[in-house]
Amino acid sequence: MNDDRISPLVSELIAHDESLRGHEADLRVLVSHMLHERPLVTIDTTFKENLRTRILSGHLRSVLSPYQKAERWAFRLVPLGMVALLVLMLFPERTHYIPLSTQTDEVQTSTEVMDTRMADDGGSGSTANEESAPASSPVFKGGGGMGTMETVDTDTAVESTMAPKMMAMDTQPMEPAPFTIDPQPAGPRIMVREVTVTKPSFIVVYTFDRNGGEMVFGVSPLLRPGSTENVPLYTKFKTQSSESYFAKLHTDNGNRLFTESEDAPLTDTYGNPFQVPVIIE
Amino acid sequence: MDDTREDAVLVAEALSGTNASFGVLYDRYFEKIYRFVYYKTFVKETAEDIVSSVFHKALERLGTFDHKKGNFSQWIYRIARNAVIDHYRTQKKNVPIEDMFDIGEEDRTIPEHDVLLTMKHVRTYLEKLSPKQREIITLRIWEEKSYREIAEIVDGTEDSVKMAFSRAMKDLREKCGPLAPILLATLALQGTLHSSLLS
Repeated sequence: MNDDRISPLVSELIAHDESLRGHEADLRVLVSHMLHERPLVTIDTTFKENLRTRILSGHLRSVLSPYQKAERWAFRLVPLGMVALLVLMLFPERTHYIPLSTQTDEVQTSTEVMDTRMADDGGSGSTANEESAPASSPVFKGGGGMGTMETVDTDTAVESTMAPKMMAMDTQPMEPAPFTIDPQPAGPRIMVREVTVTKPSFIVVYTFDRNGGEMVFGVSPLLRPGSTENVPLYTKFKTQSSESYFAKLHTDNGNRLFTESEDAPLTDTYGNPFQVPVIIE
Repeated sequence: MDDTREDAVLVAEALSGTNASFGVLYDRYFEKIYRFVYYKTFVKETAEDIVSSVFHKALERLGTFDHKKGNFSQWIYRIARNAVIDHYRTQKKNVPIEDMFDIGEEDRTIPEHDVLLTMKHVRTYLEKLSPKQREIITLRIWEEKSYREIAEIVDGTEDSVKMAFSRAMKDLREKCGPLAPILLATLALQGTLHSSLLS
């Protein structure tokens, strides 16, 4: 039966690529070897049936309807909501805040902060003064920025910006990361649209390992202080749309080499690392 | 009687809790996925481990399958390919390994080596190719998949697969050098020369 396949396969190859005509003998040898040395695949039917049983017995537990899933999540969130309510009741003064819509004109938007910083740096930002901003916040001046929640001291009426520590996690304001990664196609490269740093840094892309832990998937070249556009980042393996990736910015410790344990991630004013999802289309 | 319902229908039924529907998908794809994995690993126990993880992951992630983005076959083959890579990643970090041929000789286990010993010529051929080329050649020649089926598995078009197959065989021929005279003689000595090669 194998011999019956040699000629048709060789004919196919020549039909696809005329330059192979004249080399039929070599192709016949190659195809013949492939066919005759094909490893025998023996499927253990016991293994197959046992796996089927295991898979399907777990199926009913793992596959839930959307309503069942929503119901589960609702039950999980109830204790969290109760804790938040308790906090609000116990600490009314600390959690008194002014919503964004009623903020004063002094609160700068992130765009205004960026413009201010760029102007201070001479416009292009390519020779940013490394000491002009605190190490943990290369973009923002004075802690202002989009989404900052301000607390009002009723005694002194002084506005100050401070992290509202008693707020629930989902209302903590998000500071925009100093780099942007657009959705992109799968492949061995991730393109960073733009990044602004005040110290030599790396953009590091992570994925999740088998245990759900973070794993370095790719590292950019060393970024010099200033703004850079279209930074290519090559990954260890090709990205896949079915997998999850995210990126962080790490400050170089001075040796110009990325070491995860020594090059700390850049954090916002709340101490959270800047983290950007990498969407693979 | 064979179940002829489409994969997307079976997925929807499985997600709504119909146990038997995922069973149909399992029966439909088990052997295909097993062969696909085996031809990348060549060890029965390894293939069984990986195939187990493929179907567990397929079940866990069934809710993420979107028939508008591709068919179920593409989806599960992608899980299988990634599962093979993950398996070898645990053995050799920082080295992109898509199949057993990417592992150096010193890292191969005895069962793999035993199988490779029976593939005297094919081993040297396949080691010269990229993982993608190996995959297309084994899908076409060993698994006898049609170009349409291969295109679904590798996320390409039929035309691109045909070209890739020809290109891979051309590369192989160029890397191996003139084969016919030397290897025909070798096969004759081994007594495995077939009549078709004499023509």
